[in-house]
Amino acid sequence: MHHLLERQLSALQLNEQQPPDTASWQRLLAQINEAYMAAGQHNGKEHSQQPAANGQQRHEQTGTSYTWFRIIEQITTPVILTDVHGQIEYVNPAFTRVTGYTPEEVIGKNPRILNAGEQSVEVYAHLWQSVIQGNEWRGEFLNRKKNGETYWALASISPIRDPEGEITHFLAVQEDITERKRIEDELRKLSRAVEQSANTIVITDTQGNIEYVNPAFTRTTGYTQEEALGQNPRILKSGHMSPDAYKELWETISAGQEWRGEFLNKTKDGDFYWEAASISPIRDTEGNITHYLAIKENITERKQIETALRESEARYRLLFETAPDAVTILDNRGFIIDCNDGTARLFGREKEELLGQHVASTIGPSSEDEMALFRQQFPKLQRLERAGAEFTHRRPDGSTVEIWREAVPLTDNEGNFSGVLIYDRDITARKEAEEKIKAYAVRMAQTNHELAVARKKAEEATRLKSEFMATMSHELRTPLNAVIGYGQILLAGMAGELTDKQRKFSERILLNGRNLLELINDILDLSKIEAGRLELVKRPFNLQQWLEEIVAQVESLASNKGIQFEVSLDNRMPEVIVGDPDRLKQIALNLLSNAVKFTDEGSVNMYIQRQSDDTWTLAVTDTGIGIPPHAQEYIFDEFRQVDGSTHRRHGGTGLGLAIVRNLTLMMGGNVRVKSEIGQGSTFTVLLPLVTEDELASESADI
Amino acid sequence: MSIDNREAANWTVLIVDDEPDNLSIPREVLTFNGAQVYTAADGIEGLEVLKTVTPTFILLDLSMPNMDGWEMLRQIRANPKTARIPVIALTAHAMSGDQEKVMTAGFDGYIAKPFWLPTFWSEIERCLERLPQH
Repeated sequence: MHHLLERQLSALQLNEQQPPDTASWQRLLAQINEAYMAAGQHNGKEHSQQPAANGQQRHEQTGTSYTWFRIIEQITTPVILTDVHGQIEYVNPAFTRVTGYTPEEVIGKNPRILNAGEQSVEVYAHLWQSVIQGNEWRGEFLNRKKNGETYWALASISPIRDPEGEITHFLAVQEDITERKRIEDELRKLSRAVEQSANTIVITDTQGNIEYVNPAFTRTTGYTQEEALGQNPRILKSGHMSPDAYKELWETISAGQEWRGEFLNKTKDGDFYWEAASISPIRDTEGNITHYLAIKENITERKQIETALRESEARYRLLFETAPDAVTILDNRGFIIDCNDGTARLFGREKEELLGQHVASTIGPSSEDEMALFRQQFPKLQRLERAGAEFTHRRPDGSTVEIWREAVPLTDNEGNFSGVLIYDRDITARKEAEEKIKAYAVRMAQTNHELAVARKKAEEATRLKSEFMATMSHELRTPLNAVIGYGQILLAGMAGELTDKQRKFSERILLNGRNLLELINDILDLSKIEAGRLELVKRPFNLQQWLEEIVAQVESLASNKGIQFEVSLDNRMPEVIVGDPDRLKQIALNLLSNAVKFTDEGSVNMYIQRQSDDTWTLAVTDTGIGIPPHAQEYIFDEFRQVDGSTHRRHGGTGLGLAIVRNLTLMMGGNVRVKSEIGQGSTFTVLLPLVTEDELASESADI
Repeated sequence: MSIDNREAANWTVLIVDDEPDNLSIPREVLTFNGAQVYTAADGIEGLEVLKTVTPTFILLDLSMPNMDGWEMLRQIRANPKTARIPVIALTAHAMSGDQEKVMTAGFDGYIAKPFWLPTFWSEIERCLERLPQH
């Protein structure tokens, strides 16, 4: 039978160089058993009773035994032979190499010495149960080497029977499967990772047929594993991807490269979703591509957020770009990160000129003072407080603009100061308006003040004037009282009989006293006119008679000074006119007395002339000293004339013209002066002409 | 109206004025016509005269030192012995409104300076006519 065994061994491709795997061992053991049984039939029982103890001798007994024994001795797989009680009878050198135990250390011991203590008692119980009944037992042990290291062994334990079929020994063959275990563990972990991955994992063959999908695939696509297997991943095509994308994908992975990209895919239910995919080829040990592995992440949500962000960004960008204000963003040191067209426009620069520049050097205040204030704002922003400033900016072209700036601090995700958002507004127009209003207010206040001062002055002047008038009236009347009083006493003969001459002189005294009294009354009238209390009478009077009364009064004054005095009356004037004869006389006397006063030689003339149907003039001409042009402007000015000092300087004469003017105006007329220095003066009073008939019709109207 | 007055011979007149000329003129006029005239230079003097004399009427200036006409009138009216004596203001205060002021103050008459004799007599007579008959 030995040739049979040898043939079988060689059929099993067992040789010394290549250790058998477990299955080969099974087969080998089966052969050995058969060989034993066959040998036993030939050589008796004892051969099999102690096969290991004195194997050397036995090896020599048969060529066949020797051969398999040699094999056992030389193979790299540990082999243990025990008796039926489990006591070790033989271990091969591979056993010693793997476990560290020499045959001497283990012979007679139980193989449990290798037990690492990791396995339950039941495993061993089951093992014994199994082998004692004559069955082979296979299982994995975690064993411990002599040096304490553990290793996984796949053990195959078979009973060995004598030719009578009695179990005489047990043969254990161990295979070190530590590496396999480790790989299995890793594979298990990998497999679990793949199974549990949130990412979709698809494995296809080189034709693109799906061989594996993980549960995430089902969750994402809606296709179960059963539905997916054997299908092509194009079942997920949405129809919204360019065919070029797929083409590029296949070209890349066929060439053995990894492809990364995004797909818009469709679920079983027809919903669209986005995936980010990594697809790479899987190669065998020879480097041939056997499969493709696709790992895909569902990025629909990310895509949506991205889209939303993009839209939001676009919206804010639009808002930023089209804002009427200048908007600028600074980094946390004040350098310009971004700005809109408004900023470029406002500061008269190109946007590109501003980006990356410091705020203070480009879009800040132009004056040192404002810059100092401006810099004080930055720490405020760093404390995350809002800031604001108003300043003047000089543009590169030299023009200036008034800016109102609001600055808002920006923060990063941690809440730290990260930059500044600036809004600038052109308030030039507002500032100008404010300046104007301020100027107006100042001017108004000044005007109000001036008005108040003027009013106070006027009131004071009026008061002083009234007071002055009252005092003057009293003080003039008192001496005049003596003149007129004594004059009357003399004329009445109370101081004795008078000669003709005495009587004549007394009459002149009294007449002049009367004129003077009238003058004083005129003065009082002026104050009445100014107070608006004078009332003009309107009655008819004989013009010729009226004129004679005037001549009577002025003649003596003129002749006393040796000047000619003549009066002419236009014959176109009515005999009787309507008006206030006393006030008209006052006008004439005032003008005449002035004329006489300022004329030392020559003449004083008065002309009464008709000018039109309803106007006439009273003109007084003299050949006197004349009035300088500048004085002609204010010669009628009552304020100046009435002024105390002026009055005293001119001996009271100035009042006459003020009365003339005031009365003339009251009568609805006007007065003008024409004069040259040294050539004399002409005062012309233009008055409305009212006849008796007109007065009658006026009354009838009433 | 005349520049003389025949009634004057029956009158006793007190003239009060600080200005000698103003005192002298009415005194000359009145004494020439037969009146008995007393004079005083201010209100205090005037009141002194009134202690011994009860005049037919008083011609009283307004602006005077020591005691003016306004105060003297007040005291004349305050004294029952003198209260009924006609008092005529003879004054250079002749601005509009002055006469009203004088009459309101309780004077019986008002003569503005300078005065014309006809006016002088008529105002005195007007005041005396208003007196109740004896």
